[in-house]
Parts: sequence; structure tokens; C-alpha cells
Amino acid sequence: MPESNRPLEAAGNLDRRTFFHRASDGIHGAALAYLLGGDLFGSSLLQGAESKHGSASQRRIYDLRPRQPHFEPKAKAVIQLFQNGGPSQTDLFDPKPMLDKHHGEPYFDKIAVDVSSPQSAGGLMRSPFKFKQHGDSGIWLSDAMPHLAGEVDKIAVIRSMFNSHPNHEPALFKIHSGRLLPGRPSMGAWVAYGLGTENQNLPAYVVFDDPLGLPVNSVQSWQSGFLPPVYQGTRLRTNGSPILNLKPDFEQPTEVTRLERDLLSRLDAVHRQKRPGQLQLDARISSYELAARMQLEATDALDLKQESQKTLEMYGVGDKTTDSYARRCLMARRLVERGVRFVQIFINGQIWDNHTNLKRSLLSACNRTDKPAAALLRDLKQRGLLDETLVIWGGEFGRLPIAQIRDPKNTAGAGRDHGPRGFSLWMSGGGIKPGVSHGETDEIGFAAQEKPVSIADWHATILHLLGMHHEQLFFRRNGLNQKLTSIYKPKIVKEVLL
Amino acid sequence: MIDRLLDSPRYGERWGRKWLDLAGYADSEGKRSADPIRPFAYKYRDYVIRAFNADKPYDRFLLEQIAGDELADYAGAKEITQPLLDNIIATGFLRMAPDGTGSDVVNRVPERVEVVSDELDIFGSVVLGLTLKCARCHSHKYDPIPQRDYFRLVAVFKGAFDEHDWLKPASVVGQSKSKTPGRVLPLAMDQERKEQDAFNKQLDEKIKADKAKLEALADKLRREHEEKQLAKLPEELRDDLRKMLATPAKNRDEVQAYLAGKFEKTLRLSKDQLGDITKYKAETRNSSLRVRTLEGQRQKEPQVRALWDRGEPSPTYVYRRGDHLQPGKLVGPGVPAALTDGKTSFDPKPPFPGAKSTGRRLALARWLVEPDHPLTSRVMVNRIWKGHFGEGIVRSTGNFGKLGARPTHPELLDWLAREFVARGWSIKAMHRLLMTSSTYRQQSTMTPQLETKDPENELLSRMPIRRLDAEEVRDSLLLVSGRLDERRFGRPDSVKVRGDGLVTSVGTDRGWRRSIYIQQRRKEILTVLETFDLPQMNPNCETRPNSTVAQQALYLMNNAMVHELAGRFAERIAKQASTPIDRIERLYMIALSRPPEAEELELNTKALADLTRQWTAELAEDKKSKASPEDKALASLCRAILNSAGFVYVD
Repeated sequence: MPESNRPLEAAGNLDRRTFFHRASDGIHGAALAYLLGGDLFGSSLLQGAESKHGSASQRRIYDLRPRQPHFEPKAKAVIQLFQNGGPSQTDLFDPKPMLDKHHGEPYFDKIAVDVSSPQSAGGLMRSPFKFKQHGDSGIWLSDAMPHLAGEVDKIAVIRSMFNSHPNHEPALFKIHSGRLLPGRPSMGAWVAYGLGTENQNLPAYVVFDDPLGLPVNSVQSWQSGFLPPVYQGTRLRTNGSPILNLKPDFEQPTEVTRLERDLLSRLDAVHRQKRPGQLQLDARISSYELAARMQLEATDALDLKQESQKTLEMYGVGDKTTDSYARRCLMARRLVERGVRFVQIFINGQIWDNHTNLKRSLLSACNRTDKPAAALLRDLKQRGLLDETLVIWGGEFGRLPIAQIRDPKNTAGAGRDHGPRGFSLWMSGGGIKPGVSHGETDEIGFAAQEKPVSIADWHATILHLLGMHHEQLFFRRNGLNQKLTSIYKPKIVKEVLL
Repeated sequence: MIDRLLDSPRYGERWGRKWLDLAGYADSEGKRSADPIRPFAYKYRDYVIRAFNADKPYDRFLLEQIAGDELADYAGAKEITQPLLDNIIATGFLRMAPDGTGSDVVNRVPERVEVVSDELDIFGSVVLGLTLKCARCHSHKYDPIPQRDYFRLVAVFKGAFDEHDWLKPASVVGQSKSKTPGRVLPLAMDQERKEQDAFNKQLDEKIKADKAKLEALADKLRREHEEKQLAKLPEELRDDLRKMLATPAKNRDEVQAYLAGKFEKTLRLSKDQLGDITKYKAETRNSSLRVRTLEGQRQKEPQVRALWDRGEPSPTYVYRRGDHLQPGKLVGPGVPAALTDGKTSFDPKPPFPGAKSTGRRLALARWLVEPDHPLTSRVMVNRIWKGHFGEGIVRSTGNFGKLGARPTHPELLDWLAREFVARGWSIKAMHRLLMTSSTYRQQSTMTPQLETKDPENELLSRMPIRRLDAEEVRDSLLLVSGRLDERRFGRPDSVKVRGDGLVTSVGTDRGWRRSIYIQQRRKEILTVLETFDLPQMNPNCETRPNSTVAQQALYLMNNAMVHELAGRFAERIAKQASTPIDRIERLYMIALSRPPEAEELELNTKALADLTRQWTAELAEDKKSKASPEDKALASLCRAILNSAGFVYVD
């Protein structure tokens, strides 16, 4: 994609090359780069989130103990409702009367370079949904999301987001980890690295993937990249046991288990002591410690039987369409209540990737997610948790204003192709100013125009709400301070902050 | 010792697996949620293992995998020999990409072009160390590969991958009109056919025996019925009636015919009556279930999943922006210009007299294995290097292009590449060369000096410490506990999925086979393997991730199979040693190949005593258990060791 006509990100060929070079070297690199920082040997060089405050006791081992942010945070935890596939902005959040007016008119030539599948490109296409302003704030929403409409005064919609690649894989890497390529830590990993977590019996960074299937980039979506592996997302299951093998699959007296564990930890300590500087072994030891503690707490945390019937119904638990997503949303609340730092909810495959049958397929995606997501906002609010919990909703990009017609015989089955230049997402709670619409796309909703927000801006804003400065949250590696926002100079989106 | 290891049949299973990762080996088609099974894919897996074990020269290995069908006339051959069969099986390399075109709705030109694109990506990154993908839609931005070159390569493969003349993979049930798979050739050696016939004959006998058993039951029931009915009739008639029943209708005399007319109907057990008898009904059901199960095992005509040139491919056009609806310039077959001397023309000829095939892939393969090819040997020695040292000399093993990493030791790479060719492309020779080097014989100890001078080990100042990979974890657990079934090759063992998502392999009374012989579906990966980072093949895997997560700990601590194996391990040790100290030493020798150090011995001795005491108390309350406290305690100790870092990490 040419970089003109929209906000430029520094291209940095050289940096890409160095990045790529590093993308491949995984844990050893991470471990050793950490040592380069010298924590283990008492050097005064401090890293990342600690550098600002310079805590008295230096970090000797990477763990998940809570750490001081750089400044007073607004949000203590994040729930990311990730909508893989690219929800269509002009059918959900960003009404474009011009599309109604010019419906069917050819437009391909003007945006040809951004169309992934030119062979199926049709003319401009109006939204099959009706838009209305809602709540006291008057935020626009289409009738595809009736439940969110009821909570609209709790959210801020950003309508001027843009990504820099029209394909899912790179765009997903970008929104999850800041660059178009694999191998970098995901946002959740950065947050866990920067802040640790309040509850040592649960993972800091929890991922609920959809039992129906993994997202496009699979487990790479929550990887820790060059950060120590202790910060990578922990997948929890929502059906059956939350984590496979969480409980012994056999019967054994507790005291025997305790003696076994005791021996194991002593042997591992001996093993570790003889091998200084091997960070993999530290990560492994803490993974055993976490495993043992999780056995006690995870089951309880994810037990939805403890919820009232009213709450279950509010989320849509038990209703075939919403049940799966509702469970994940409700579990996310229960985890955040217990001090988990970052919860990420995925949905299977690409339900928002509405290349065909726009109305039907988009509605189906909304029907599965709208009610649970709205309920999560209401529930957090009722419990007084919304003020310190940042909820973010959105996908990797948006969709084009023109129709995509895969089968010329069936124009009614038209959908929309990927549109990275402009898309919408919303944020709520945790220091977000409610009832705000920020930024604009052009008159047909193709590209961000007014107050464009880059992915790096957005990342920086999220870190800011968590009390961290994006420049100060870094990991020193090969002489470079690696950051979530990479080489970019992002602007915090102040307009959406309280 | 190196020779012993290289001669072990396990060598091919371990290093072959690395190649299978690169090829993207899977026993299923992927793409669609049905994930249909590829019934004959395992032959390619076996081929790779055999090739590594036999140290098949790498140039030959590539020739077979890129153009095995054009190496010799398999169709006209009088006898199918192993080498001839291997040529064809090897082309399975080009049939490994995920492919949804077994479903009619996505068996259209664009989806076919996708499959070809995946295959070319695998070919490009694995063999050439080049990312070709970019050049499909536009000239490569960083490497000197114009879009034209990409389509010249497409043309090379066109005789086999023709999006306008497509052979279908395994069908997705319910989504495909035709059921006949298009990618198999009915080739087999006589030996295989014989084995198969013998197997099927055995099946027939079992089925026959089963049916006979059912018939015997029916006979018994009939006789019982007859006797019961006869008992109701006057005694003097009974003998005559019995004779009548025993005589076939056409042989009966007049009297018998008369008796038959009068009594046969009441005496005989009718089909309906028979069917109503509970015992018979149940037995019929059981028998038909058994027969169905047996029929399911019937081996069909042996086939090979392969790729072959079918001659007369459609013309190849440069697809503008990769779009098949926008054909541009016509191109002929060729290799990337940047990799040639610019003079020699790419000149495919039919490979043997009377061949239908174009010979294009054979020409490509021959070009690849020319001794002075700039990439082929470098890419492979780099991979061998990575296999030993954890990282390649070029760290991005599948990308030698501009966006890839610079080599850390360029001269070394060049020298190794030349040695590789000079030593007849022998992979084992390279193992010997690397493993006898002083670099390889270094320890993994970290020192403050190494941490400052060579933090990322780019200078190879030490051996990296390494976690066992997924297969090694599972296979080692089976091995130490004496439950590893070393049967090699053949159909993969199936997996089963428990309600909560746990995927396990189905074992036999001989134990479980090595992980490489377990069915590798794209959607159902053995939990233990997935937990320890076995990747989903999409389309292949250049480098496995290396994660350290709580799930691994949970698996080793709580999984029922690990628990069972620890018990077996303990039984094995108990047979070999009796005193606590002897047992601990045996345990260490088997699990960690070294005796315990003093500190470890002390810890284990104390733990064993504590555990024995604890188990004595526990078992005192449990009268049913036959195991002794000592055995139970030893099993606990084994479990702790199987969980320990010493077992899972190699220094």
C-alpha cells in the first residue's frame, strides 16, 4: 500500500530489517537480553516499568508480582473483546448518507490500490442497516447492535482508526503487537511485564479463545515474543475444566502429592542453582508454582454456578446464540474481580469478515456478541468495577464502502472487502470519557480523515490509562529499547480521556 | 558413539521429523472444519524417515521430492520396485499444503490458485530459502524476484498443478459430488499387495466365522423349537416327522410329503419367530457390529498419494495483482533469473521416451542440485546447523533474502556448503563434521563474561540449553517407563478426544508408538504434543515456538497417563534394584542417564523414606490395595523426577 493520502508511519527500512532479524530468535534472545540488563548481577541498570520508580529491591527474576506503574493509573485491568475479521464501520458505528445517495455507482478506480480482491469489486454500497442516535450522548449506532445501544452513554467510539495492511495476518500482528510481522510481544504481554498482576494464584494475562476455533494467527496472537515467556497469555477453556489437566486425573492422597511437589521443587532448585543465567529454568519453576496455585483458584474463579440467574440471563448464558460468548464475558468479569490484569476474549475464525451476504453475516456476528458485551458493561458498572476496568472492543481493520460481489449471478449476496484505512472501535471505563465520538472518516467511510488514530496512538493511550508511558515501558535488547509502540512517536488520544 | 546414534533407526525418526515440519506433513487436508483424512499420507512420512536413515544424498532426496514422477517411467514399468515406488511417494512433498478443494463450494479457480501458492511457498522457503509469496501479486519489494519469475515457476509446476484441470484431494463428506480421490495412483509393490491380500483374507475368515457362529445359534434355536412342537404331538408320529424335516423337500416320498403339508409349518421356526427371540436378536446385533468393524478394517487397493505431471498443461499468464481474472503476459517455465548465470536457458524435455509429461519439474530439480547452485546447499547446511546448535548461521532459516537475517558466520556457511556438496550431499557426513567440532563439544555454562560479550550466543560461545521438544517429552516418558511400542512405519495410530478437549492417542497392550506415528490431524493434535509446542501445520513450520507455560506443568503433574507411566517406571526399577539407594541410582540412570549427585541422592533418600511412611499410613486404611508402600512411594518418586527440569531440559 502506498503511504500517501493518510497519516504516515515512519517506514524505516533499516529497522524492519533488524526487526526481522530478531523476530526469529525467541527465548534465548529474550533471556540473554535480560541478562544484558544486568539485573541478576546487581548492575544499576533498571528496565522497563521499574526504571521510573527505581524500586529498592531490583528484579532478579522475571515474575508476575505487582509492580508500580509510572504514574497514577486510571485503569487497573483490561478486558479486550477482540472482534477478529474486521467489523464493518459503515454498518455499525459510522453512518454514511453518501453511500445511500450514491449506492451502486462505480468507485473502484479511486480506491483500486486498496482492494484485496479486485476481481469481485462492485460499486458503492449503502448499509442494509438503519442508523440512529442513542442515549443522552447521541452516539450513532446501527440497529444491528440493539443491546449496545442501551449502554452507549458508557462508551467512547473512535471512528478514525486505521491499520496499514489489508490482509488479516499482518493487520492482526499490528493491532496485537504493534508491527506487521510476527515475533513481537502482544499488548497483554507488555502489560503483564510492566505491571505484573494483583492475584498471584491466577495468570496475569488470560486468553479466552473460542471453543469453536482459534483466530487466524492462532496462539501467536498472545505470544510474549522477545519478552520472557512468563508474560505470554494463558489460554483458559470455557467448557469443561477451564484448563486441561487442572486437576489430577487420578486419585492420590493429598499428603503424598505434597511430598512429591516438595521433592520436585527442591530438586529443581538444585538444578537451577548449578546453571546460573538460564532464564528458561526460572520461567519453568515459576510455571510450576503458578500451576499449583491455579489449581486452587481457577476452578472457583470460573465457576458460573455462583452467579445469580438474573446475571446469567443478562449476559445471555443459556441462550444458544449468545451462550458461548456470554460465558467468556462473564468469566472475564470474575477474573478481573479477582485481580487478573489483562483478559482477552476471541471469537472463532473470522465472523466479522463479511465478504458475502453482508446483512445476514454481520447480523449473525452481532447476535452472538452484542448482548454479552453490553451486559459486561452494565455488570461492571453495577459492581463499581467499570471505573477501574478498561473495556476495549474492536477488530484489526474495517471494511470498504464498495460492494464485494463474489458471484456475479448473486448481487444480493454482496459483502464488503477488507478496509484498513478507516475503521471504528469503542472503549469504555478505566478512565475513558463516556459518551464521546472521536474522529471522522471521509464522506464514504473509506479512510480516517479527521483526527486519525494510528494503532500506535491507540496502544499508547491504553498504556497511559494503565499508568504507563509508552516510551518508558521497554525491554532492552541488542542495544535498543524495544517498545510496544516500536519506533513510532504516538500521540495519546486525550479527547477520549476523562 | 556418534556412529551408533546415526545408525540407529531412531535417527530417521528424529531428523525426519524436522523435514516433515518443513514439508508441513499432516494426515488431514485442513482448511474445512471437517478436516478430511488423507489416508495414504503416511507413506510420505515413512519415505522421509527411511531416506534419513539410509542417508539418501540430499540432491537425490530433492530430485525425488520435486520430480520423482519424471525420474523413471512408473506407468510403463514391468515391476514396481521400492526405488520406483519411492520416486512417486516422494512427490507427496508437493501435496502437503492445506487444501479445502475437496469441498465443491470452494473447489474453484481462486481456491486452487491458493493451494498452488501455498505449495510454492513451502517449496520456496524450504528448498531455496526464499519468500516467494510477495512476488505472486507484485514484483518482490526486497528481493530480486519480479512477478514474471513467480509465474515462470508456476509454469514449471503447471503440468501437475493446473487450476483449470484440477485433481481433487480427499472429499469433504456431504460437500462433494464425486467421492473418488484424484490424487492417488494405484501403485504398490507385489509384497504390499500380498500382505494386503493376506490381511483381507484373514478378515474374510473372521467374518465367516462370526457369521457361522450366528448360524449355529439359529440352528440350535430351530431344533429347540422343533422339539418343543414335536412334544405336543403324539409320540408315534415324532420319529417320522423328524425324518421328514431332515429330508429335503424334493427327496421326500409320498407319506413324507403328506406329513410336511400337514405339520411342517407349525414345526418349523419361521424367520419372524426366530427374529423375535431376544437372545437371537441381541446376538444378531452384536454380530453385525463385529462384522461392520471388521469390514471397516478392510484394506482397499494400495495407493500412493502423489503428484504427477499430466502433460499438456494450460498456458501460464502473469496474473495481475495475483488475480486470475486479470491475466497478463504469457510466460513459459523458468527459474528465478537472479539465481542463474543469465545465459543458460531453461529447457525442459520429456524425461523419457514416450513420456506424456513435460519434464519441467525435472529440469527445475536438476537445476536445484547443480553443485554450484547458490542456495540449495547453503539452505540445507544451515538447517542441519540449526538442528544441532538451536539457531542457524542464518537465523531466518527460510529466508535468505534481504529481509532475512545476515549470516553470523558467512565464511563458515560457505565452507560448510562446499563441504556438503563435496561429501556427496551426505547429511550424516555433515552431522559427523559438526558433532566432532569443538564448538559442538562446548558446555552450556553461562558466565558473566559470556553474558556481556555474547548475550544472544551469536558467536557460539557455548551450547544452548534446550527443552525437549514435544515428541521427545512424550516418547521419553514412554521409553523410561518401558511402554514405548517401537513398531515403525505404517498407518498412523488414531487419536481420541475426550469431552473436555483432552486429545489422547489410542494405545494397545504393547503400549504406545512414538509420536511421529500418531495421526497428525490439523484440528486434533495430541494434547501433550500441543502443550509442548507441536505446531499446527499452516501450511508448514519453519521454526517451532518454545513456550514455558503453566499448562506444561499441569500436564506432567495431573495427567492420568503420566501417572500411569510413573507407576510402570517404578515397577521396572523395583525389578532391577531393591535398596532405596540402588533404586534411586537406577532411576537417575534411566531417566537422566547419569547417577544422582550427593545432594540429589540425599534429597531423594529422604523423600523416599517420607513417602514410604506416608503410604504405609494410607494403605493401612485401604485393605483392598495390593501394592506395597515401598512400590507406591517409588512411583511417587518417579513422578517427581519425570516432572523435574533435569528430565525436560538438555544441557
